Amino acid sequence: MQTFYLHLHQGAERFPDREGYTFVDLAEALDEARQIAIECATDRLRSNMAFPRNWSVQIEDAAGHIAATFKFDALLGDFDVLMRPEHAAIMKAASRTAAQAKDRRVAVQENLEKCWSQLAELRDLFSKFPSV
Amino acid sequence: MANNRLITLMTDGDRDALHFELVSLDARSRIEVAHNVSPYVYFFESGFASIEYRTSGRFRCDVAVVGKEGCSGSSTILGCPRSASSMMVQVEGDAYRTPASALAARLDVSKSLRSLLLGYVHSLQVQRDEAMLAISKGNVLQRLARCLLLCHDRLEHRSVPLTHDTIAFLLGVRRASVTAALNTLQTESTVDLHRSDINILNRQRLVEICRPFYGGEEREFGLMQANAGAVDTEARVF
Repeated sequence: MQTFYLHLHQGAERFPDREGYTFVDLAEALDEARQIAIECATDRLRSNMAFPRNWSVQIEDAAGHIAATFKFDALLGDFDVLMRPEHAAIMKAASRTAAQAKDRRVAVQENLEKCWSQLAELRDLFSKFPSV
Repeated sequence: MANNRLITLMTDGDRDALHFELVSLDARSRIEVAHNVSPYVYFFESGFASIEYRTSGRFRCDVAVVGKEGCSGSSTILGCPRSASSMMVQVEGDAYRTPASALAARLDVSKSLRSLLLGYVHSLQVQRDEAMLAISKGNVLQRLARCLLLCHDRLEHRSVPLTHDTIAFLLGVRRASVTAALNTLQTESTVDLHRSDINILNRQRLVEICRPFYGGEEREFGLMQANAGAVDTEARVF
């Protein structure tokens, strides 16, 4: 078991962990840091405050070395996928296709209306012929 | 003269029948263990204990704190010898204890004692209800403010001798969340932080922060005191 100190950073402000935690290894310490981030971020969102993008949990080992840092931003990883450029291009192409389909639908509708009016004209013409 | 509010509200007959014995309670000592019969019921003179509910798995939650306004043994008062929850002393102090069997026997014959203690259990239930509301609707800052007030109500002094770790345990959150919330309170000069001591500088501010989740128990306790015929019902009940 190893001792790690999990310091909370709120932007420039640092809240040192003076008591420390005991974990099997750094991976377990990182998992706890992630849980801290989830708890803090959830609490902020619950309080109608912005997601704390610039917050982090710094993991210091017993020797005083910074072993790792868990940035709160990492929690947004799954949502950031939607913001990537290639996905934005696909979204743009999809909306262009939808616009074209809309235009074509309007065109088809206009042509159908023209067709109906021509058929009506034909019916009127036929009605003027004497019956045989 | 006892400091415990329930003992002071008891009739002389009830008090004599319970054969109270003054004992010291160390911090972290368990005075009730879930699903076990507790041999004694403790009426706190100083310090306080928390009621903890734990499932068979890893889930646990502190649902209420009890100090000089009350006693352990809610299940005994309600007629169940075994409690579903545990009780642990969080701040050391003294308590008058009475055998649970003696209390149960007296409750059978004394209407005044039954009325007093059922009224107390009712006010404790209100504290649990407010805890539930705070957990489901409040944020960590509000829950921390509420916790500090509940502890402060039960202590004679201005400071609350609890570590961040103990508060995290009481609130069921991580220590880092408590540290961040405490620093928010310190920044606005509501509390003054020491290593294992939190000095309350602005109690009114704490009340403002947790207003929706605090005060019901005291109100119910006041009504109970009035029903029990307390002379000075305007005085602080804690």
